[in-house]
Amino acid sequence: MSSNYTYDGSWEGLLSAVFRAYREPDAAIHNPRDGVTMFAAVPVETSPEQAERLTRGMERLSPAMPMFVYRAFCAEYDGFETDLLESLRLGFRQNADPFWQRQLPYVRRVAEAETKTGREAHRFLGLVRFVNAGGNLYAGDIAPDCNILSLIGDHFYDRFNDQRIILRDTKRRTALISEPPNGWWITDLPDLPPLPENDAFTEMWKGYTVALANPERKNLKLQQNFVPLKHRKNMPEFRGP
Amino acid sequence: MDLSHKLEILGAAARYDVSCSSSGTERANAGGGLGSAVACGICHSWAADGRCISLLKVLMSNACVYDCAYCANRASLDKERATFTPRELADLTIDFYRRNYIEGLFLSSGVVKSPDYTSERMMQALEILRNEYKFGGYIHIKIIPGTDGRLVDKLSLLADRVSCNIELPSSGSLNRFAPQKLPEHIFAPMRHIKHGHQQFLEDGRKTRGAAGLTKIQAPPKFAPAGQTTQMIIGASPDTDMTILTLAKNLYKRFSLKRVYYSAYIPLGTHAELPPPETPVPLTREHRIYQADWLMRFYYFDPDELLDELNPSLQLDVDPKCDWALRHPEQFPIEVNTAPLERLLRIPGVGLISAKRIIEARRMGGLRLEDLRKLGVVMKRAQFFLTANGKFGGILEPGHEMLRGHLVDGTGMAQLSLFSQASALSGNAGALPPYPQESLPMSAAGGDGGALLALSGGAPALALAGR
Ligand code: SF4
Repeated sequence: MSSNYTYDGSWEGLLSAVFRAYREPDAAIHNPRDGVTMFAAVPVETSPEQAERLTRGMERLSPAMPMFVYRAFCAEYDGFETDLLESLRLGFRQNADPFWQRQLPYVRRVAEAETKTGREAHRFLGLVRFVNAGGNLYAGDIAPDCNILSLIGDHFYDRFNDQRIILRDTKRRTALISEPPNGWWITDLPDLPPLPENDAFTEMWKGYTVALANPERKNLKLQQNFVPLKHRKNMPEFRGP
Repeated sequence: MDLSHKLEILGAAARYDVSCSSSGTERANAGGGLGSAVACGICHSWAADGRCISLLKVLMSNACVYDCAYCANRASLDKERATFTPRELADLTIDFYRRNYIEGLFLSSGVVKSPDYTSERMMQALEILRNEYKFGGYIHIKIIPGTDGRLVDKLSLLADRVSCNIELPSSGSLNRFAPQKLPEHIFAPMRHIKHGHQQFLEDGRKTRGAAGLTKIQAPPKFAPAGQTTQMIIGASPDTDMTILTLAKNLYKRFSLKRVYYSAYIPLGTHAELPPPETPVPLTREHRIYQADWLMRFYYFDPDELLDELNPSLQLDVDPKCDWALRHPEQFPIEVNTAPLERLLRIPGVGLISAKRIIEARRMGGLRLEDLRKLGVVMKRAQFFLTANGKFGGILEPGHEMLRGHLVDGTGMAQLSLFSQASALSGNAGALPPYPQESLPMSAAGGDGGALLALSGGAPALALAGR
């Protein structure tokens, strides 16, 4: 009989579920987003210890592998859990990093998800916009396709290490809190009050970006390639007057 | 005048500059300070013309006492003038930086009173940023021609990248259109920067060598991201031959990281310059970038691409294809035996695909059908190569109809789109043209990559990575 497992949606939870399902050839893991009751899935309890063991196991195949898998996890695509399970089975069987074998469809899906997250995380280093929310507190909103907050925390913490930051992911209702010198962390955010709108520099920046473009070389299509319309609502230079 | 109006004037005045690459340097946050520069460029926004805005690009002042014919800020034009105080500029940079609008500052200026007077004000702004705010973000500063060597030194110690723009590619044109600037006003700072930068690299090596033994302070950073320059294309009657030969000499003599080319946008400011309705020579600019790329990474010499009889690059095909069309006797090239430099001559074979060919053929002979998987653009390459003696093109290299197959349709409108797409996808076959990002150069770190690339041998390829 094949078993269906589910987990609490966290990274450690995922690893615990993989740990549990690994030796059952037909087992599948479902993301809590899928509406698990449909599958009558067994919830796997999150075990930091098992997560740690699996992480070590992956590191033995390739030191960069846990991070690689984590980024793929952040892409939040449907079916990821099962693809990962397959890939890891292959890897441990061959005792080699499985993610080089992109000709296999399940490996390719994981690898492509990793690339997608990595690319989006890098891109958002530039696309994030903050407003001053009083004192040295700066706040911003993003709505990325992948769950990237935890991947960009280091960058913003290091770069702005004399200002406090609340960066909200409005899609997932989570926030990156950066509080130098105490560190940064991710928190849930049930409520999303609007950001302050009285930051004088927002207008100045808008005026500047308009002044800067060469009318003779205007190329809106090209501009759109770089800043997709869906991300613009959180960027002052693209908001109406 | 309020600050936002000043910013609009001085932002608009700075828009005719091309460089927007902010990569090439790593500056760790000193701790407790603000900002860092990361080695791979982060783009923050894109203006309506599709160029990336990653730096606050402004002039310190557009009140210029010089009268260069091609310039929108020349003294004899009647227009609104504005000047930042060093404090205003530093504060503005910080406030934008804190909101994550920018990676740093790209500062230039018209000549207020004199080059030295202006440079001192620029220096004050940089000192506030670096010393008072402990700003660790990226700073690119333009050196005003004629600036005193000591000031050039000081600016180079504060900035990450410095550039002194040639603008006009010959002394004749310089004399005619920018009579207040002498060639020596430009070359003296360039030499200065080169020496300072080399000294810095040398000290760095020594320090690293001694690191295990004693604690030695790292040498002060002197323009750690190197120097660049820019030339205007199409304002003066200078030919592509002149431009590329000058570029080659500049790379060699001053170890420049990059030469940027900017298609002249006719402003109607001078009777001897192209009138305002003249189209902006974007395709020509694009071809020159491609030729520049061929010189730096493909072992081409300007003399091979152009000569006295043909001093201009063809607009309908890229310069490498054009060279191949004119040299049918060099083709076809056998991919299983040709050395790297020969592989790189094949249209449709890029740095990465050439490297892959060399790797892959060790494992056994390559067939025509393998090449596409290695990133070779067979649409162009098929006419110029053989694999195990097999030729797959429908036309032989010397055939008169061949040219028609190689026209790349780089029209005005498609130009930037095309070039962006290939730059982004890292398309191995196409020549990356318009410089959003100076990838291979920045990968070189502080090692004078430009020189390496020109001197032949393997290093240029190693820089390109995989
Ligand atoms: S010195 Fe610079 S700002 Fe002044 S007119 Fe010449 S190019 Fe323009």
